[in-house]
Amino acid sequence: MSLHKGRAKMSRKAWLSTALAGAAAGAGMLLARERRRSSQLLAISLRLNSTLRRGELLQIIMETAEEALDAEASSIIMVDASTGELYFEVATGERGGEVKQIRLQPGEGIAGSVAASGQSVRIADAARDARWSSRVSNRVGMPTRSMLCVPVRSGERTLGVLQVINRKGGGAFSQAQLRLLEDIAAPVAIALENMLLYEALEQSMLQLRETTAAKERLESELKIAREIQSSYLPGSSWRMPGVELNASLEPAREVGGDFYHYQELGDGRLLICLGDVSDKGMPAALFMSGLMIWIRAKANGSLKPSQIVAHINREISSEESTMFATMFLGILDTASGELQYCDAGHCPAYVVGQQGANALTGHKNLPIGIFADADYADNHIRLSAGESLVLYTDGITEAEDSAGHWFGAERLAEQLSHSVGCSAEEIVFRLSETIELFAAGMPQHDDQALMVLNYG
Amino acid sequence: MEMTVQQIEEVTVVTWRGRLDSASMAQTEQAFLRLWDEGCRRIVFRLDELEYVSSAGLRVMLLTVKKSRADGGSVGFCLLRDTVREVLDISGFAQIFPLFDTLEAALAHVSAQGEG
Repeated sequence: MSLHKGRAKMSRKAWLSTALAGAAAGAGMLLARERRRSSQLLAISLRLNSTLRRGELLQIIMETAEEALDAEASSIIMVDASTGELYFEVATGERGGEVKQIRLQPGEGIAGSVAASGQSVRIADAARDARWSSRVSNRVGMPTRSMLCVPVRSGERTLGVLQVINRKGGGAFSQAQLRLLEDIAAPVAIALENMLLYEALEQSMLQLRETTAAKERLESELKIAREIQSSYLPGSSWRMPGVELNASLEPAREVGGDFYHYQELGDGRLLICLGDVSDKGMPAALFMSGLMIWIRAKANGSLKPSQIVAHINREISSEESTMFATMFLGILDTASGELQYCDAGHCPAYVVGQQGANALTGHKNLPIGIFADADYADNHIRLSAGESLVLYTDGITEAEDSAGHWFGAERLAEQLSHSVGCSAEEIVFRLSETIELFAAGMPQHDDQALMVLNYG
Repeated sequence: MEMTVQQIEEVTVVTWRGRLDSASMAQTEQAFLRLWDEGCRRIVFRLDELEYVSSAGLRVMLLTVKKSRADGGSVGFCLLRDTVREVLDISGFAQIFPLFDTLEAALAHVSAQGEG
């Protein structure tokens, strides 16, 4: 093999140079050479540490290696940590403007075997060495005669391989030159390690910037959506002769599917409505916004609550969608206290008065949005002066504490039974406060809507 | 949410276990649609181990009923726990969902529906 021949030749040459050095100047010369070598390596380290940019650094490594080893060319071949492949970049343009990446399989060619074994290699005649990959030589476009190839290691990890090619003036590289290249590989490893760390840092900062930008964009869009959505709701408190009304809406996310509405219909009649779209977030908010428009459009003094609900249901039902909404919609005659209401699958409303808090148990209809031809029917009750009507969504009764227990209908009824004689605003405030204390900082899973109407 | 599928003659029996809510909605819906696409048209859902159904869960149940009405087929729900039954009563869905106290009754219902 050419390698053995090379070695034999080299050892003769090494012997000759040692003999000559000893004859000429003795140990002093050797010491001086060691010192020169040390200061040369120090200069190389300083030069290598002058940059962290990949393109610049690889250029400096190659120039340094060429100069120090008196070689025609050099290359630094990196190991791809994720695949184990080796790769290097070749300038394809006249002035090196365009760069082409060449990748080698793990273990392929001399660079591959050096990277795999961690052993340096000195080759006198590359073209006749079985390990030489002509694939590389052909692509680089430089005939390779002699070469040195050393691993660049950082701890246990092989970062790459450093090669110098073709000793200037012909002939093979010496064993001493191989050692010099090995010495150069140490500061090269440090420089490459720093470069890789810097690249990883840059990459993660870029990702951070991108995700932050996306998050901020989304948050500002959600804020706008929340403003649009709340613009569909009437104010949170309202009064007319004989009625005090207060409402609150707390979406679990920025936007949600709970809603409420109230509207005077003339002749002392008041429409009240509260509901819950069967979803959360943006889809529910969009559905809810459409629903609010339909409620306003269909709220009509000449229709019964069940007729209004049936109209809205026809408009929003579709064959394909399973999105639906539960809703309580009532019309109160403020003079008589007569309340006519349609319960479209909503959680039971409470009437709070001298008899405590009692859930309304009237006819149940289907939620809206399910079947366009569904039938809806009304219920009647009469509110007495001093009584409150309490409407809410299941986000209230299903508020969870840290143990995963629900606030529940019983606690709600209990709390409400102590609210007799309180203003609507007080009832809403106290109940919201109680729920917040109950949840004790646990995340809110569902939107929470609440409306209290005090009569008389 | 866990789910097992069993074939009893021509009826596919799907058992839902755990919580059917917004977290498990998509997965449950897709599993149902896969069965439907494979041609299962008689499906009984066993709910004796279903602990909770939210409004998102009701949408999955509604989808099965809507599909069976639109494409031809039959579904039934059986062995509901009280908590789940209460949600269906309050929401009014009990009126349109075919609910059964026993597996046998549900099997008989979907078998009869598919015929003729």
